Amino acid sequence: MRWPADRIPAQFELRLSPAQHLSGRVTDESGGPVAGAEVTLVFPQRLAGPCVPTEDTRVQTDPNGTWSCDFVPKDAAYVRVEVTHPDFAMPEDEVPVEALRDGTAQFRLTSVVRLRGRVTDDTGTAVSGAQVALGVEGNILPGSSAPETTTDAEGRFEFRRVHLQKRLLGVKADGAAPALRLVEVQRDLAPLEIRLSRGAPLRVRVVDEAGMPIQGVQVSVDEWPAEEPASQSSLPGRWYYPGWEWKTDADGRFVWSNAPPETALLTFRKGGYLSRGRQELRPSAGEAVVTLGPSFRGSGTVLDGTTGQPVPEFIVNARFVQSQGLGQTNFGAWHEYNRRQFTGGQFTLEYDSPLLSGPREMHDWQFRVEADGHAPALSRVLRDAERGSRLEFRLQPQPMPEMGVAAPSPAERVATGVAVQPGHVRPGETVTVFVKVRLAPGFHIYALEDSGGSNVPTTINASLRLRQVLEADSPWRGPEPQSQPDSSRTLAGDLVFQRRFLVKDHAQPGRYQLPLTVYLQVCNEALCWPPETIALETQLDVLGLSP
Amino acid sequence: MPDAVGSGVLLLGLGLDTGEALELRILDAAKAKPLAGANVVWRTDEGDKSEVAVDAQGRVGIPVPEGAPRALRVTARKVGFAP
Repeated sequence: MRWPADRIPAQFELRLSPAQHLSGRVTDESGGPVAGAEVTLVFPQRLAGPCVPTEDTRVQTDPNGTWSCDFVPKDAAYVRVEVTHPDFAMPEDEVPVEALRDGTAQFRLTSVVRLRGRVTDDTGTAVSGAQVALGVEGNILPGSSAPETTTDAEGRFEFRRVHLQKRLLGVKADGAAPALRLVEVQRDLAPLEIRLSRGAPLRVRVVDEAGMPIQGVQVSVDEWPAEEPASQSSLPGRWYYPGWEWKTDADGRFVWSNAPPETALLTFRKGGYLSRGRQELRPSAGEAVVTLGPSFRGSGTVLDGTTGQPVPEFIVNARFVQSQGLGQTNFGAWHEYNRRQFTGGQFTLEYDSPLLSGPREMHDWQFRVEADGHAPALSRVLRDAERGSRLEFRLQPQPMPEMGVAAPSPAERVATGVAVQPGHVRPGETVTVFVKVRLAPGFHIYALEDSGGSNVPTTINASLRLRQVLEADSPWRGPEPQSQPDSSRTLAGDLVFQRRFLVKDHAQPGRYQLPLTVYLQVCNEALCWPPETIALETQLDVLGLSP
Repeated sequence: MPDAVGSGVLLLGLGLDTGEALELRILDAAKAKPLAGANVVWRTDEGDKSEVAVDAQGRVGIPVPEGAPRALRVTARKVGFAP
């Protein structure tokens, strides 16, 4: 409601709506009353004109934890109650309005407290600017579950509204080793005293395979302490990605001057080199040496095994291979994220991270090439030292699977079938789904996408069930449509559509039914029949991950 | 001061001259009848506050306070009714 200044009415009518009596009780975790809690009633307000101001919709609980109010209109479409108190977290449960009306509404609050502390060095001097993180009981993982603060000039820190539970507190500061402390947060908890120790230097030199220093290597801590038994740690938890980073100097060196005594996991990364992840390091009298090899490069050709012609489009995937002695070999999985797509029969590969991270010896490599209409091909196992090798793949054409689609009749107009090739695969491999559409002579359907004008394009949809196992790896492809004088683009006769799918990494072994639908409109020269949806189904066997 | 604004319950940017009165009438919204026995509180944005009871016809005159305040908040209350 708004009036120009010269048109303010001398009289105004204010209409009060009948109100309802609402009440409830606020308790703590043990059912005891919470006095002095602020209870705000939220209900619909007019978008314009007189309304109830927010400050008039609040009441406080009495010593028995009870509250009541008489200002909510009887016809309110909803009523929400917000309860706040400095020593408690707000309850999240909704309370039915009937319980508010009959006074049985209960709001159970969860206690929160301030967690205070002070950080000092090993001489007892306050450490200002120290970063303090409050994780969950077992770990600190940067993010919303781990609030952070910084100590003031007197080394003090404070976290507000902390629930009563065990939390892992981490402290890091320049000139001191980091500290982890398990804190059981409870009422009347005395301020924590965190005394940092100096730690000891962790000296590392990063060299290439010729022993020459590498300058500018990015070094970061992934985890401290490392998991047992490597760390032999008695610490109460683990700090992930704590933000400790260095860069090697011209001699390939860096020093973590105040490293803690426990083993930490570090990652070393520089462009052009194969990174090393999760390297276990701890302070010692000497200097640790980390060797980075060049990034893994390979190249090659992919040819049709029959014609010798370059395969126009193909995928190269990689997996790690580990020799485990006694003739045992461990093959990695064909993971989706290692796939690379190429065209024109040529490929070049570069991997700047190992396919298997960790402190083990560098693994060997194997590659797999997949292309529509061809059987996949595997490379030999390449030793890690064979970086830069050229590989030649000759893919054997694969005949199209038999779909057994009967010839259509003038009465049937269209017949369809579906098949998947190969019929059994492992996660990370690909399959091609074929859909065959046979049209009776004189009939046509429209192209997959650009059907011309307002004609109904043919579409093939993978069902949700299929998409739980397979992920599309190419568009649907089909025969080239005929452009007609009326600008429509038509398909006639025997048609085969195909699409490549990737078997998802998490697909469990087993037999899967794969439903699809084909949506098309059949026409002849004179008329079009209503669009129809044809349901199809095939099956696929997913095998376990072993090769 | 070009505008007057109505809000919670009724907030008026005053264009009236000092000494004039705004006549307010309080009604039962459900019955559209005057609501006797209601109390009206008005506060200026400077913090001045006054309270008066409405008459049997639900009427009350609110004098514009001295000093021509920018706005006046008017709240009407009666037991059993939302303000």
